[in-house]
Amino acid sequence: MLTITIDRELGDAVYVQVASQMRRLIASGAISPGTPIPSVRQLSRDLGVSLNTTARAYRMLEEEGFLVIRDRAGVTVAAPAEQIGDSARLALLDELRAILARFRQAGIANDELLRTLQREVGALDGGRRGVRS
Amino acid sequence: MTETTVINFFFTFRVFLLGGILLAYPRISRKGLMFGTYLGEEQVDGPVADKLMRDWDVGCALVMIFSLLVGWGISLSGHPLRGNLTGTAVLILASIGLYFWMYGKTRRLAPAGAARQAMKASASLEVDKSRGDRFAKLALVICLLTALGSAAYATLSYQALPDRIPTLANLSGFGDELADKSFVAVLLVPSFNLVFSVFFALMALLVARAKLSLRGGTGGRSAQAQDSFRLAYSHILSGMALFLCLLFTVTSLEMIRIARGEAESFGLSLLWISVAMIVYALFSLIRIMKRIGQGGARLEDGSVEAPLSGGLADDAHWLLGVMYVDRTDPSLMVESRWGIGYTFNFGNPIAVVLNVIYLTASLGLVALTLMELGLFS
Repeated sequence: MLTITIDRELGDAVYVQVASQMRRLIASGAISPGTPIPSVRQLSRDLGVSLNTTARAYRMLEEEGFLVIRDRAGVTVAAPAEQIGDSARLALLDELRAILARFRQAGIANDELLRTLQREVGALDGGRRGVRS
Repeated sequence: MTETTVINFFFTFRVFLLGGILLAYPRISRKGLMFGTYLGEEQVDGPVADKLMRDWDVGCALVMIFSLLVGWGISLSGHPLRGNLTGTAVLILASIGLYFWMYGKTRRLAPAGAARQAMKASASLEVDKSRGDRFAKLALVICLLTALGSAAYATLSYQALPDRIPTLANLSGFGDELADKSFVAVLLVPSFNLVFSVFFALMALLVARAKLSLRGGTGGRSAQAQDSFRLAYSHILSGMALFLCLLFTVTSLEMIRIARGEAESFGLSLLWISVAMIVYALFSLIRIMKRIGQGGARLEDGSVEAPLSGGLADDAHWLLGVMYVDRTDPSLMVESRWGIGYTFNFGNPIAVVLNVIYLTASLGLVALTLMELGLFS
């Protein structure tokens, strides 16, 4: 059974923690496309957070293409896009550049940065293979 | 067997039963909790916790002996019913006093780190496919329709009833109290049905959707254990709702038959339904305590070493270890820290409204019953 955990003592807002954990689980294939996930109300109740907090995380994930939210059918995991538009690609590239800049500013050398990148991409692929097998 | 013997037997049985349940309570709670307080997973295995448990056991034994002495003493002086009621009241009040004494002792031992632990919370990402609330929904519909149906039948039968109608029956099933015919008197039992059986069914439904309090990082083992407990407990409440519905419906129908002169007494049907209901409740509770434990405590296996998180670990939101009040938590029902079952989140306005409605309705019905029996005049 997959679970997510929030920690109010961490610097990140709770909705950011919820979104980042779900993003990781979906991208790694731990939750496959089409799988229903708990409603905003249920997840809020189980985490003991306000409805707005969970709704904000879900809206963010919907905008990023990780979730499909329908009133009656509930919330399901979206399939990865088959094609990406130019503007979306540019937006993602901008985000990547911003993150790379933060790594550089944090004093992380290029070698280490590349190794980290390879490891993380490998972890995503490994997760997918693990789920498929 | 005289009525006095039966009353004394049931009193003694009740004392041993409630005493046994009290002894079991701290032994079935989630690891880390003791007497309504979060002590932490390590401390509940230590010598301090052992000493607390010994105090509790001795206290329970003393409470049982004291209430038996009071009850039997009054009964032997020629007032068995008064002895029964006084002994039971002593048992309940002394048990509550004992709990608060133990709560106070345990609260002083609560670790400072619990507040930090309460800042964490885990939730399952799986949607409940078992439809655990199906039985509760069915029970709610049956209770609601049956209660309304019996109220309608009593109303339609009103004209044909005599001026005096039976309201209470003794153990043999004969009506031993009569009241003047009125709509209030005729609709009392169907109203009890509407308030109590529907309430139990509603509780079953809310429990089936209650919040799960997971241990962090246990990969869902804790969630599965709690899901089992939630489902089993909801089923018990649904079953109780159906038993109560049957009891009140049969009572209402039999009262009309007796009033019309179609039957002489209630017969033993009410007694048998009551006995079956008590046996069902007892066996179900003992079974759930023995096999599943409070909140699935007995099914958590290896995950019990992981600390509790969220509301269950948060002493700041628990009043005397039994009342949960958290305005930021949207849940309506949460797992109890003490005893077995669930409690309301009184920080949720809906929970407050529900409790006010229920208390008003049940106290109103009791007051109406007493008025009909002429106890206020």
